[in-house]
Amino acid sequence: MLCDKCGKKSATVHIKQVINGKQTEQHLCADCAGGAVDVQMPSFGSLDLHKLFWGTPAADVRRPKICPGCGISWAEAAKGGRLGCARCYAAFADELRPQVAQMHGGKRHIGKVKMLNPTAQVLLQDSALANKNYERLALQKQLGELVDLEKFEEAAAVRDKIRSLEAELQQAVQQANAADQKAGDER
Amino acid sequence: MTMQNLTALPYVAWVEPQDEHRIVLSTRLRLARNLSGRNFPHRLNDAEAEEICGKLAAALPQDGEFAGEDWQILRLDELLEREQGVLLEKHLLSRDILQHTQGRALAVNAAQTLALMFNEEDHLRMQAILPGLQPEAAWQRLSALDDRLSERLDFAFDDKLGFLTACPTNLGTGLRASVMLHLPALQITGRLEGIFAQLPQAGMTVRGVYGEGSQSEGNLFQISNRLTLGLTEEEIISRLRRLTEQLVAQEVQAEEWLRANRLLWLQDKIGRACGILSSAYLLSSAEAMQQISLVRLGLAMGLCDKIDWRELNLLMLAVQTPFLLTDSRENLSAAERDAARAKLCRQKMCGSAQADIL
Ligand SMILES: [Zn+2]
Ligand SMILES: [Zn+2]
Repeated sequence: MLCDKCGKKSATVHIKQVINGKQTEQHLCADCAGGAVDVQMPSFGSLDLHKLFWGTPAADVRRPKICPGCGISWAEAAKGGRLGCARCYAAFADELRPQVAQMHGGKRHIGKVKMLNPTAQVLLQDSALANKNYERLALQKQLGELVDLEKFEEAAAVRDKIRSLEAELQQAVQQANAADQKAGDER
Repeated sequence: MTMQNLTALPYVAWVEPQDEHRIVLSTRLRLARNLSGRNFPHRLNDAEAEEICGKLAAALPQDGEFAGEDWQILRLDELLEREQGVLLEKHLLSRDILQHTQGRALAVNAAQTLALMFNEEDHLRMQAILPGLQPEAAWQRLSALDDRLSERLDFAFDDKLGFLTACPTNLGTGLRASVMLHLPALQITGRLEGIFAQLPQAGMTVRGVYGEGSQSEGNLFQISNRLTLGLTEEEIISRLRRLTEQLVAQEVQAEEWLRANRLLWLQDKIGRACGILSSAYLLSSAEAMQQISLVRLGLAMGLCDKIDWRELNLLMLAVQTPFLLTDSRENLSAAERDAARAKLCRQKMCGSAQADIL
């Protein structure tokens, strides 16, 4: 094989390198390789960050974190400034916490809260249950305010009330669903 | 309401004059919501996005408080560019949703006071727009709509973070509350930049409605809350009201300063603006907005009676390019547009030929 540079002598030095993600090979004679330090220098302006991890223990090779809901990686989400789905908030909780704190001052939500299992018809049909759901919503809001005021004892009492209401509502919804299922099976 | 009215007629509820000083043009409240268990819109394919549009449309309330809304649902991929432009000018649509129109839709009520975008950045962006400073009334409507929708839809929610949104800047309440203000006297007296510089401390942001910074064409500005998490909706709204009332008071002070110190100069400016609008044959959008702004100031200060409030508000909307285009005039050259705009202004200022416009 002849030298890539002078094309006269035979190549004895083989240089492989990755420049801008593209692998190139050069075959040079001893003279040309000796005088050609420049061939070893990657072009300026782009650092190959993967190389920084080269040679470090295997434990340090970072596996990208992926959201199980939508399959987006944290790097992708951070780059686009948007998450892929609601489950991303749990998947990337550690990464998001400082960002959200910086944006919103580290406070918890004290605004409107969501209705419990809103697709459950039973909550729409049974007014007693609907009232309990609304009571739960009101308590949820109160809980946020109490936590904000650092009235933790009162907050704990409210939280217990919310939990018992939630349990009651969940049970009612499950019973209604089971009844629907049974009615469906019989038909 | 016909499709024609919605996407062509230069009329929308918020142009009805309300505020006694005519400084606050409109109040707009927007809520962001997403369906649980579904990817956010930018991670959906067109078929999935279509399916979500169908689900959202089916959940629109038709009874009780919402019995007469007569929702109209527009698929964005079926609209002409000019129609999209009209909806943008009416503030019923955002520019972002137009980047990809397949699987995107807009639902508007007959009064054009409620508008819901399907699959913008979030699955659902619903807004209430009312004329003048009415954040409480707008919130009552919007919150009721949210309640009704949440009976049928399962919104993504977290106890600590509140309603979950594609971008964390909208977390919590998902509420962006804004007002559109006309502030010509503060602009003329050079006080605007100083005031705007204080807004971030108050948790508010400002942007020009037409163009950037304090040089907005027509001196129209939109002020909105920056934070959405850690405050109640009522707090966000009452802060917006208090800030807006302060800005209105400052603008009125600037008007009074001008009246006391620069009356003749101002009368001349306003008189010339009336002259240009009623006699020009070519008007660029920038010039029309500048002169309309001066006439507005003239009306506010009782220095001009050439046109009434409502007509002026309608004119402000009608001179925007998308309204000048019609089926028969889909592509106008810049000069043709300027001529059509000038004709519109002459008609309105001379108080005749309304029929040509409406
Ligand atoms: Zn050589
Ligand atoms: Zn996700």
